[in-house]
Amino acid sequence: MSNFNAYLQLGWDHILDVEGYDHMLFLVALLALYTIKQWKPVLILITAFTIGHFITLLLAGLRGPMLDGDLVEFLIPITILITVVGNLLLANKKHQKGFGWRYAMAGFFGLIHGMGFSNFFGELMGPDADIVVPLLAFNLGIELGQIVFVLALLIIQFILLNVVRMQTRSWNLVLSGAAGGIAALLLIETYPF
Amino acid sequence: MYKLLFFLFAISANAHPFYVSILEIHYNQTENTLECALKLFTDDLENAISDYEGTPMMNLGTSTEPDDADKRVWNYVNTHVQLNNHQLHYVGREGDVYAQWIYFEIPLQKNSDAVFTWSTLIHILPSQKNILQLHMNDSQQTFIFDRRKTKHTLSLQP
Repeated sequence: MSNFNAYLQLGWDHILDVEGYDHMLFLVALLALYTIKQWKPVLILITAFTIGHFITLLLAGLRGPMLDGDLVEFLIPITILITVVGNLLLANKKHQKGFGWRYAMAGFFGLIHGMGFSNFFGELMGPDADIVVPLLAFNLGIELGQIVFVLALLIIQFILLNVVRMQTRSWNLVLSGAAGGIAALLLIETYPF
Repeated sequence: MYKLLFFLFAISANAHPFYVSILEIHYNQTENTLECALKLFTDDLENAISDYEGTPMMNLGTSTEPDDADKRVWNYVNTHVQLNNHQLHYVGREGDVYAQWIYFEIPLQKNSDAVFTWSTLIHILPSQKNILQLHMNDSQQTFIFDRRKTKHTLSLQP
């Protein structure tokens, strides 16, 4: 396999591996308010997340300032909880209003999630390694993995809303509740102080 | 309700950013040898050796690491990295509390295809990804080893 393909696969696996589900959990929280008809803002949201991710990894590769690993693991469930609280506050509003800040948030959360494995590019690749190709391929794999996961989520939602006639509000509450519950447990487990 | 809580707790216990190791292999044509540099995160390696030996942590990468640390690290690596029908020769180790770099050589007997097995850390970390980068004849190939696949066939023809 070429180096590019290997890192593409690593990024893809990183998103879709059930053992490292915290990214999927964040996506569930982020997208609980959207339906498949709103695929454009959804695509912008996950791309904003990937760009944030990419920037952090680039900084790590260039040995820029980084947060402590334990702190990052603690911040990840916090970003999920903030998203969930946002969902609950917005649950009764029309979709298009008050959502602009979510793009910035997605990018910012991408920055924090990216720090989760910035240590890999900082410590293991070595100071002389060419990091640009691995970084690009890895983030492209992450983007593709996210798109596939989100598509699957929105298709399940479409079936539940249109065939089972579930209420949109119920879908939002179930997803936000589940994501919030798991994030709360993660928060206890990763508490660093 | 208890079942749900248990389920949530069971899956939350597995969350972690990114587990990965790198093995750089450069082919030395003059000596017909594979020169290997294995890079692992220190805390992961320490946990793995502790699990493998059933011993307490040994504070790798600090001033209090035991005298036999080299031997134990190499014993662990040597049993989890194999090129079939070949001996691995320990060269040395360096590192700190973040990462450990372990160096070894594999003299080649004949230049043909050989099965490479690599399973360090996978027994304690299900999402562990081991990345092998083989540099040979000005070309580079990458192989990924994980819980689903711990063997790859390397083409070792200069």
